[in-house]
Amino acid sequence: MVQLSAIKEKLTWQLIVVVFLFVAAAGAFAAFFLPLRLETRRLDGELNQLSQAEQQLTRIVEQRSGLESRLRELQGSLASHARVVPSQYDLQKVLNGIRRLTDFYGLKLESLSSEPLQVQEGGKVGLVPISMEVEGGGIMPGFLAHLCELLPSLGLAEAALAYVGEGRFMLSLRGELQVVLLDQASASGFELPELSSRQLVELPVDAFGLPFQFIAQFLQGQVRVLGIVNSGGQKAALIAQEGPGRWMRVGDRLEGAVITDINSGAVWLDLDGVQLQLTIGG
Amino acid sequence: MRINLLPKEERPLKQSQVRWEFLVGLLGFLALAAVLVFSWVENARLQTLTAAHQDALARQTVLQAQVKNVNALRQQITDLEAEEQVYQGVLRGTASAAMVLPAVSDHDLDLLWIEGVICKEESMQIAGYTRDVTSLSSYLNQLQRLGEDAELTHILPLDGTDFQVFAIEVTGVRSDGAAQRD
Repeated sequence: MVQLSAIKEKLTWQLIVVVFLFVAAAGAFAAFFLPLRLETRRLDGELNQLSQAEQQLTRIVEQRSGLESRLRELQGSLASHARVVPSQYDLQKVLNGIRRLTDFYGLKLESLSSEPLQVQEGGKVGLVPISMEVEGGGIMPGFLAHLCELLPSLGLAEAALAYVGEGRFMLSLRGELQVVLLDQASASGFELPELSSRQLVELPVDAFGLPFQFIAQFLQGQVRVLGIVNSGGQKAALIAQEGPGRWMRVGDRLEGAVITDINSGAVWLDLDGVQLQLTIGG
Repeated sequence: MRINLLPKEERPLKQSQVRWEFLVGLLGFLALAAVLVFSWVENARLQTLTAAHQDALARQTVLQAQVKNVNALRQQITDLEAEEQVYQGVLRGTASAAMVLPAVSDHDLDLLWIEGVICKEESMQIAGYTRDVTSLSSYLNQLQRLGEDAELTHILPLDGTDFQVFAIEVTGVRSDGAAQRD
């Protein structure tokens, strides 16, 4: 009580004003300045984070033009692939294209067949085994190259070329056509281009000969010269082949062979480039 | 002699003297003024930062939408690349030894004839006949250039004649073999 009265005695209005000023300063600091300071610090931190995030996002956005050009490049590449690679719905188009190509090269399509589609692992690609036989002239390599160009997804497992005589060849092809599997036919962009002529490499017919089995029959006594006569400068040979003989002159044909010369003891035959001499009785 | 009977705190001050209450009060006033001024400055800064924050948020929203588009673009590219790989796989390996057929038959040997050629992916078998073994040897040398190896797998003379029937196998045939020739 004594102390309280002592304080009361000392409490002047000046002292009250001084204390009020300090309390007011402390109150303003705590109530205004400090929350404002904390808020600005928080915002400053957030702004920094936002700025960093913005930089990262900007870097990503800046890649857009590069990605767009890559997308265009891929779309172009896919469109060109889709034009040359058939889908499972284009098999008839492919077979018609092969027919058209054989006609274009003046070849005779002896046979053309395909087997059912075999779906490959992954279900995105299928295989269609295709086989064909084509008969024609020495332009077979050109035909083959053009076929592979038209159908770049056709893998040739086997190509057998045989000479059949008179400048004609038989080409047997066996291959697998790879197709892309699509959900619907309308998604296919496959189209065969117009056929255009190109520089052709022809097979040199002279390099080929008839099957030796055919040649051998003339060498193993199946074709025999029984006699030769010379009547008034005209020579004729009596030639027998599995039966009674018949008289033949130069230029006559005998089972694919052409008589090129008849002299006193022998007959010369041309078997599509292979020259044979048959002697009497031999 | 004059005796001042007033209490010490009530005595008039000298002109040069300042009462301590005044100094402390002035200090308190200055402190309050400083706090208010700094608060005002801080408030102005806060206003600026808030506006900048709002702007940054708006920009981020726009950027995020653009990033979303970029990510969609990336996904589209990934899908197309997968599709491209399928096509690349389909278009790979269509080469065949059949492409060297012209080179196989390009010989000027009068006494050697080719009956037929069977081409597989990287090998070929050639059947034929000859009336001159030297021609066969030359032809074999010529075929060596088309692949890794050309081997005479079969040769059979026909009794009583000068004909020899042969078979050759060429392995490791390059589909561009024709270009390899001299």
